[in-house]
Amino acid sequence: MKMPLQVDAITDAHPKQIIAKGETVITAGSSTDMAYYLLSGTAKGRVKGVDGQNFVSGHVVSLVSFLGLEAYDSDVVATSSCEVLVMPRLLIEHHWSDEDSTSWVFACSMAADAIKKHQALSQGAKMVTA
Amino acid sequence: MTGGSNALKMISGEVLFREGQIADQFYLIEQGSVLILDQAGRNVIRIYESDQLFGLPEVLAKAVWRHTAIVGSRSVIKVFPAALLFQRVEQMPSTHRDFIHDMAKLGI
Repeated sequence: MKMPLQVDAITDAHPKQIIAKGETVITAGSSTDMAYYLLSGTAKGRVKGVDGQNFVSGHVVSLVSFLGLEAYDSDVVATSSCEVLVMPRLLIEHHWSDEDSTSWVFACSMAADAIKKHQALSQGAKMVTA
Repeated sequence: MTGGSNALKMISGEVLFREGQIADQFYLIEQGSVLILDQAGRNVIRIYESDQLFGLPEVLAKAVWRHTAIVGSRSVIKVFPAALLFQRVEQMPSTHRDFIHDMAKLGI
């Protein structure tokens, strides 16, 4: 999922990381006070060794977790060499809110809600299969 | 975003909405908690607490509530009508509007 912001306008002043294939882009448990925008390359989420969501250039990696959680809930690993822009949460919130402040509030709320519902479903599935 | 809202003061066990009702309001918990029950009405499957906003995806989708919600403790809950949500989303830049609709699909 792509963020509704013109990231080009805010990219120049922020550090870019080059991450080799197989290396970690995000570690589960790290704070969502930073967002990781994929300028090039591909990456994949990984929860307890199981492959998850795919990310391609133009994506904020784990955007829903970034919006809805205080810490990322899964690892993300580069599946090809990646160029990643690392941006502070406050910067994104500032630009997002400049465009539409309600959109930021709604997006964060809906992300947190979606995660909560997904976790409830996962726990329910575990209870059924246990 | 307070225009068009009203605040409910509720006590533990009171029903906020029931499964099958049209989702025509969304909620901000100012104080207390709301428990979402499973379809048997016996177990709590989610809890919303102070400062949490909920119900946006259901209202945007003009859906019915899939679960019953009861108040978990003495609470103050701000209630917003669906019309306010549709009006605010309509006023957003198109990229934001599309994004909000995509996010809503994740939450249904």
